[in-house]
Amino acid sequence: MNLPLSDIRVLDLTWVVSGPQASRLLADFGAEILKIERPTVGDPVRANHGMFVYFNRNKKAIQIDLNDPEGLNTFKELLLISDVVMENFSSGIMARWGLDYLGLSKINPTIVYLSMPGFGHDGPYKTYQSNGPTIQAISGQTYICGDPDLGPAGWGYSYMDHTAGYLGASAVLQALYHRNNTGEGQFIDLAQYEAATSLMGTYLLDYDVNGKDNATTLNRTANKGVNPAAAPQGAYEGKTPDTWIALSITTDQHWESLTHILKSDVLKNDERFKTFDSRLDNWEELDIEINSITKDLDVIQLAKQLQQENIPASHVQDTVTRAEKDIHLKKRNHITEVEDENGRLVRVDSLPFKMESIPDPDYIYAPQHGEHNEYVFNDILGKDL
Amino acid sequence: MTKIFENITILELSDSAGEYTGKLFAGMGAHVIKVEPPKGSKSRKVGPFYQNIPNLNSSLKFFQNNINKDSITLDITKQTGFDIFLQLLQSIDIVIEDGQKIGQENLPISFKDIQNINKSTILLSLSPLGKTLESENFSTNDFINLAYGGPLWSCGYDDHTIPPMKPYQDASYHISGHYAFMGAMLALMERTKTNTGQHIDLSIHEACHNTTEAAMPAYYYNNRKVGRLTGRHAAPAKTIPVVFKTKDAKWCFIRIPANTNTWNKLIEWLKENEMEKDLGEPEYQELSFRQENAQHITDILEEFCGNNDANYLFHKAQEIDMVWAPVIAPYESLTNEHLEERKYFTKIYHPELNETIQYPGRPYLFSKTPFEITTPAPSLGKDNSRIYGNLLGLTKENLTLLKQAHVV
Repeated sequence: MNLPLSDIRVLDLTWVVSGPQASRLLADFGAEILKIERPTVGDPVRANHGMFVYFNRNKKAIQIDLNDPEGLNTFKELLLISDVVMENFSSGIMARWGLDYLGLSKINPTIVYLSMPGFGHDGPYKTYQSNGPTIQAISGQTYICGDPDLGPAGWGYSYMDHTAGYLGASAVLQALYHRNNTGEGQFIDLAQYEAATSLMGTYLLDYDVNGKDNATTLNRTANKGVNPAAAPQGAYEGKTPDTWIALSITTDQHWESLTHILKSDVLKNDERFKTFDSRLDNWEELDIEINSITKDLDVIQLAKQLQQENIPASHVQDTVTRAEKDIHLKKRNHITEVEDENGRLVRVDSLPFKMESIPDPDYIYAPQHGEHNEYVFNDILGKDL
Repeated sequence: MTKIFENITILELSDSAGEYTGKLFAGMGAHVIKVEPPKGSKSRKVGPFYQNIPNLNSSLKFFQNNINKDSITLDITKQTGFDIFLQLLQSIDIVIEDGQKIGQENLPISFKDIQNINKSTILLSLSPLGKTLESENFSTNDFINLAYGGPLWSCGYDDHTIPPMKPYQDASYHISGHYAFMGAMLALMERTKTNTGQHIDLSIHEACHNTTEAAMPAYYYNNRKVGRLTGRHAAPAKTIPVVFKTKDAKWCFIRIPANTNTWNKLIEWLKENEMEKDLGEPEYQELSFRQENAQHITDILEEFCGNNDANYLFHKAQEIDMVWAPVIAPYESLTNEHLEERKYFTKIYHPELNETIQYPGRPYLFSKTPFEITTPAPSLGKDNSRIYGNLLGLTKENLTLLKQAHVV
């Protein structure tokens, strides 16, 4: 199958999640990803089998010890016949091996080098270490999510590992596009702190120009939806414990439909809820009232009813409903299967876009530690293992 | 400096996720022309607003997502407007549309029709469920995307009688905007080989579903369902807390180090503060013992956090290779010394406001083709004369007539 990156080879020194997310996307787009791990110990995420499979499908795995001169030479041989080098170490690690951009570009001047440290390669925090929650904490993403009375809830996972990965893959695609047009390689310093902060712009502008210490307020209202104006907006409990209906009302027409569906005279007639502005002003009482009704309802049925009236609404989907009952994922065959090392079929998620003339890739199970040593060292480099 | 996309022109008919994709292109030099209904894009009406005064040219969210772009107005639901749109397509590389309602219609042209006009044009469609499911009429917004796609399920508190909590504003648009950008890049790269554009059909729902980290692998491979946990990763079973209040009434994210050398540095630090308690005992040298006693260790670290300021904890922890960080408000980045030294923020003068505003900058730093913010988001229709004049040769008189007919 001829995928867009089928002529691209990537030396992938990334580990854990953010870097592997980036290289997995490039693998899905057809690049040959050589995942380089130490011979004695692989990517620590191998300890979590499901996570490793999810973020390392379609890659080839080889073992090189960069602390060993022979291993370093092998890496440099591969560098000569590769297009991209990528890593997510802290700043300074690659330079210890002489593999910073200066060193790499002397060997292969057209190389594209993506580096994804937490804080970038200069500035006072350049040696600081991070993972997803570190970046989410310092960029304000953790603080902004939650109820101010309860303290920050934050992302319930390493969102920035995904996002840095998305931006990393995007950066490589751009640099390759540029190289194809000009013959020029380059270095990309993807500081995850900066990537995260670039997503928080509206909050920063609101403070900068309005002097509005809005973070705590928005933290409370983000779930209540006054910005953009919506009332009610929230996640309301359903009949079954820990089931929730998310809905968002921005027009009087939708409000009327909602009161009709919920069969509530209080919502229809109470002066506090008569107008859009009064609903915004009384959102706390409104939330209590709505919750008192939804707690006796099936949230999946309610979501269907609300959608029939064009009201933005959904049950809050857990992993099981997404995997087993989501008709929209099913209709587009989004969840597909690959064969694992024992011949069993296991599920993976496809790319979330379809292209007119480029087929979906064939998904291949994540590689064993060093599974492709022979292919790379013997077949590509002509060494005798 | 060279710009990667200096020869790329984009028509953007977007007011949510597609706007962010357009921004990523605009920052790298593409000429992004925002095509808006004469009354303005919906995104111009979303707050917060400059000086808290709503008008079509004061949305700060619009400012943030539309740097470096041009704006033209065009009612493509009118035949004359539609004809102009078709003429514009002749010199366009990418059309971005995210289902913006123009009158009662979505983009009233198929990809096939676009190709008949310009076979190298790429059409990038971002929609709630994907274009193939457009007939499902799924009503949504950022909040509902996150609820249906899965991220919301994982965010909240240990106490599951408290509702799941929405992350920062527009997260679902960023998630899908990133994927859309990658799709467009693939199409551009493919076009250099074939000279033919193509249609990219992105589902915001699928993009959100793909962005919940361990949640799906836990179910796919271990048949386990994750649940919300305060300030930490949703997981099938309860884990030890990691976010604690600090002396200065802030919060700090902490992690117990797995590496024994780093653990010993932490003990030294605790000793300096007379807080090591029993953690210096030899059995703590074993990782397995530390794991078994993680709650006890955490109790001590919680007290330690309560005795110290968040910034002190951050810098001192990082000195000894620990990934701790202060949990702070977004605006605190505006004065961060690290970002300042890296010249991260860009000051942009807004002539219509007569004010300079500070913008967060690049998502990545390219050595030879940097992401740059050069001009503020355009006021509505700011570029009508220039764009219609340069691309279509329309005169001032032509535009006056079109304006009178409410076409522009």
